[in-house]
Amino acid sequence: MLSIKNLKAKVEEKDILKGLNLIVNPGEVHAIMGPNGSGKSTLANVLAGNPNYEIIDGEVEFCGKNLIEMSPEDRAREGVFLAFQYPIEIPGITNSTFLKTAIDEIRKYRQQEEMSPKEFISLIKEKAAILEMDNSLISRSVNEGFSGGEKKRNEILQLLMLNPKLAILDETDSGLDIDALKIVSKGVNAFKSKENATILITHYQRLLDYIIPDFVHVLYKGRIIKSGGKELALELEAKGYDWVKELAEDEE
Amino acid sequence: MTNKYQINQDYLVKFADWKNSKNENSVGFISEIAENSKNLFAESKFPTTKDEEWRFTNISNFLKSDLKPATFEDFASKLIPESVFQNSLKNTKSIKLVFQNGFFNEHLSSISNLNGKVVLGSVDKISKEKPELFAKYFNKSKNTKSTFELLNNLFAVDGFFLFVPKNVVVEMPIEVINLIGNETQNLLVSTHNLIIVEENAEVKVIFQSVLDNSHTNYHNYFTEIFGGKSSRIEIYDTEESLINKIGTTEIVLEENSLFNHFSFSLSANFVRNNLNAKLNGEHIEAHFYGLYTEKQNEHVDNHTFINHAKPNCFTNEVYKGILTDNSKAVFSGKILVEKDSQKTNAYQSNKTILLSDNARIDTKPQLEIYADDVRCTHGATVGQLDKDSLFYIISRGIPKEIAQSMLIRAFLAEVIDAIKIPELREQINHKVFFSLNQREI
Repeated sequence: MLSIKNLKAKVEEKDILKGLNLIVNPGEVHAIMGPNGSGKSTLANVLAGNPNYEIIDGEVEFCGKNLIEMSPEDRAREGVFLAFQYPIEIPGITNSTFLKTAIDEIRKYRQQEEMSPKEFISLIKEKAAILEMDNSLISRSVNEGFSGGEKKRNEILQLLMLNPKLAILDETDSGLDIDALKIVSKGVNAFKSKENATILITHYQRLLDYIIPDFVHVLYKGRIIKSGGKELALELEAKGYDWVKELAEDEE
Repeated sequence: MTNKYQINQDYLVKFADWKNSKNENSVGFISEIAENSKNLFAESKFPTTKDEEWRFTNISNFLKSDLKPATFEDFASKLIPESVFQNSLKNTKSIKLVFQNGFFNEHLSSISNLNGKVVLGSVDKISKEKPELFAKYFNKSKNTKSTFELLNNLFAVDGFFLFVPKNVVVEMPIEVINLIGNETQNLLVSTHNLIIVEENAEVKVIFQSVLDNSHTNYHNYFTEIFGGKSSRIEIYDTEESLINKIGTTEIVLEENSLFNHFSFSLSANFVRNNLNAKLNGEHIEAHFYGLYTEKQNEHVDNHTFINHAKPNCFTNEVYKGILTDNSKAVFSGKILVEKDSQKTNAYQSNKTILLSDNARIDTKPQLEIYADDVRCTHGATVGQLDKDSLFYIISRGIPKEIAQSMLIRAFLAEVIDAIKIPELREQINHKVFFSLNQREI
């Protein structure tokens, strides 16, 4: 589904990604871990097409198409979704207007008919229930006055509503208490299927207690320096990042 | 009389001609004010950009336009009633008063279901029927008048009058529609409005200036509002596309009153609003909202002055705008807290988004505080639509033009969502996007 080859990217004249390789297949969950400043969020933003990030080199193929050449809106329409680390507030635009607009634009791109208001309402109620969100949130302005946890939950609501092929979750667990973490994880697990894939970007292992990854990758200085199964996350939790850093530096 | 300023002399000559030609019924109380203003006007200079309060607003077009003061004949120009009401409320029951080039048009107005004690209509007519109300309030809100206010005193023979007596609540909004322009000439239309709301009374008024043709016309207004103890007043002041408007709103509020003022300039050609409010009692709550969206070479200037003359009052002023092309806006907001006005809460903010490199805002917040136990804040920001926010919306598959509209709506939400009449809120929302050539959200 996703194939990243030798990806190099910079932000504000600073090289962040320095030759990253990653393959993600349908049905898989990949966790990308690493110390602060290793390039985790850059990877997420580059894949979603944030214009603040510049790609210097490399290839990214998504479902057989060149992702790098696509506008950010077309990436979303092709099925890429980024759950933001810091979701923005949009006063005056309700959650339902926002999501209905997004769904219909994606459908238009795929030459499908608009979703009927009735279908939309029942869908959003169903998805909000998974996340234990109050129905009143639907008619509230996007993220306006939401707590940190509510914003993250709202990101997962958007994920469930837009139902993309590839979900990239950028530090969705940060700032969540254990109850909120469980609810958010429940939402992500409800999204998971054999047809789609998930990339979890996280600093901590605890999210992976609730969303079990198939692969864990350690990102350091813009490159993946170690990959393994879910047990790698536990090892990192126990031993910290220093030992993998040393491994990487030995290789250099 | 000296021969000091040529333009003033020109207007005084016009005044002499105009007096002869105007409707003979319009003499009396108001003509007296005009006669008394002549000398003051002759000595009062029109401002230039060298005057601090007019630094960013050039009135040379006004001075060059050779305007003809509107007379009763201009009232007779033909009208299509549908176009008069095209921007008024349709699904909300309202009282509608139409003024045509300054003169009350009773035929087009609809006044019904009104409490019998409420007096409203034409300043000219009611000044003759109820001289005692006029003697107390009319032209009494301020002593020293600016040149434009004196010009208004010279030529305004009519205007909107409203008196809401003690404990009366007027449920329906009152719409005051000012039609400006005739088919042949550049007109100066002068209106002098007076609103008196007595103790514990309540009312909502929407002022609308509507252009009747494409000539260069100026609407010079002078509006006086007196809010009695515990009164509740909402004023909406809206300008239609292409209008030229210069004027002053004077507000005097008494204790415990609640006052809401909205000023909308949505693609107006040239606007200078002076808004002066005096808080003349304790525990007053007043909100002043402004919204301006301008394009091409349009110009809007909002000058506000809020005088906290008594302690324990709360005011909140929020002016927001979006400018594109070569348009220009000016905001000057002064808050005065007098020496004994302790426990004053006064907030002010002016925020503008520029959608083009050539659009410009000059903003000047000023606080003058003579009391020591007060809470006052002011701030001004100028910027572009936030890039990160734009990316957030676009990353959901939403096209850029809709994402921009969403951010415009989000930016203006604080003002638009404060509009208390739902249909008016929708209309203003529509006009915001229309005036900026943006897709409506």
